[in-house]
Amino acid sequence: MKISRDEFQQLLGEAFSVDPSEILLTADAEDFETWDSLNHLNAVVTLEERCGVSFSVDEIASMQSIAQIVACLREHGVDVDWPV
Amino acid sequence: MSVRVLPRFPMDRWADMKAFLAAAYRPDIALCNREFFSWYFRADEAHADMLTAWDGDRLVGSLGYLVDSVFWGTSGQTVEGAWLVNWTIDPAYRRGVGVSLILAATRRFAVVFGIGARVENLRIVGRLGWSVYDRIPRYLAIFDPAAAAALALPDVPPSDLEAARFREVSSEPEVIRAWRPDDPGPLWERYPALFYGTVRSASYLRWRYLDHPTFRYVVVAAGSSEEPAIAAYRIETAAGSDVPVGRVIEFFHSGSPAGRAAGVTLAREVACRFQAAGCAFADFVASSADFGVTFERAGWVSERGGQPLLPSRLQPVERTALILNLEVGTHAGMARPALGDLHVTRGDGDADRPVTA
Repeated sequence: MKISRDEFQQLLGEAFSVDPSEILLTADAEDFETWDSLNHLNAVVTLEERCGVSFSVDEIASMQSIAQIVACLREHGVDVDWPV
Repeated sequence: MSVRVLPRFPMDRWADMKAFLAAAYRPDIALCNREFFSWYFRADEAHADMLTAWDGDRLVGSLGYLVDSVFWGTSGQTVEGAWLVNWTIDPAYRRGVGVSLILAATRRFAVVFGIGARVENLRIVGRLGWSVYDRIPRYLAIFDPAAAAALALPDVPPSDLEAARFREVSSEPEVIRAWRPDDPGPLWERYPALFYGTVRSASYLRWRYLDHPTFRYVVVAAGSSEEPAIAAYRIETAAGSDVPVGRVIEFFHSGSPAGRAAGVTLAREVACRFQAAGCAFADFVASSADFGVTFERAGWVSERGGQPLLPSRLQPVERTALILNLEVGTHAGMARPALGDLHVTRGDGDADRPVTA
């Protein structure tokens, strides 16, 4: 499974209700007022459906930054085309 | 941050839990009492039925679950279901921890229930695809309209209370008997109104009502031993007053004509007991359309949606219109019954629980 940077930003931008350009590897939950529980769930469900993965509850609880989300996807074998 | 979710709460961390709950709610809340907590979450010496999230050594979230066998469309088999209660998250961890706990429960149990969710939580369970039912019906019997008026919600005219006055008289008090855990178990296939909901087994009834550490419930039965009608009730005094109020928390009967007749008799005679005890009014909250009909046939009145007359919470008396919603999540492919086909009462979940203990 491979996902491009553009698509990743688009998906998370929609999940967090922000412009995709704001989805940066340096961004964390504190940077988005819209990163609340509901949108956290939106992001999880969106990525699970798109990438065909199932995050563990520990992973879901620990996702507090874009970089952590990318790392989780990579742990599940998803090739996010975005050098860290 | 690296958060770890434990499927059961380790009771050797009780001091952390007590401090966590005290901070989230208040120090004298019933759950801060270890005996009550242990009963409620069926704790053994080592663990209690509560998902907990930990950031290192810090407790940052909890979600209690009350596990029960559940009928789901038939009495022929059961699935493992859970009522989810006390979804509590450290404010600093709101984003992902709450979601992880609810997902852990949803993945684990075939059916999960919630009751009385707030708006923000309704959005989350809605996103998870749960069925959300806006209002569980409530039935009233008013015995003393003047006394009830002292507790009534603002702007409720006396005529509305008078219209809900209970006018039946006891005619068969001898048909009610005390229910005992060693009574023969009902033949569940004769109880179609229970085909979606918690199995009201003897062990469930004993745990939920007879073994309750704080409330004193009376569990009674009527009808034959194979298909009894059963009710559990208690009488409480509204805070700040000397007004007793009857609360029917559990009720069911079989679907046969004899079972329905026993149900009507039981609903009427329980109301008469409340009346004899000097209650101002009594109530019963139940999703089942079938049992609602029974209550109305027994002289109770359905409280109209959106216009509650009397408070639901009496410790303290809350004079706002509390309408209990219901949320149900199921694994994929399972039936989604209409509200009236479910059997949910205030005895399920945490809707009849002491504030303090």
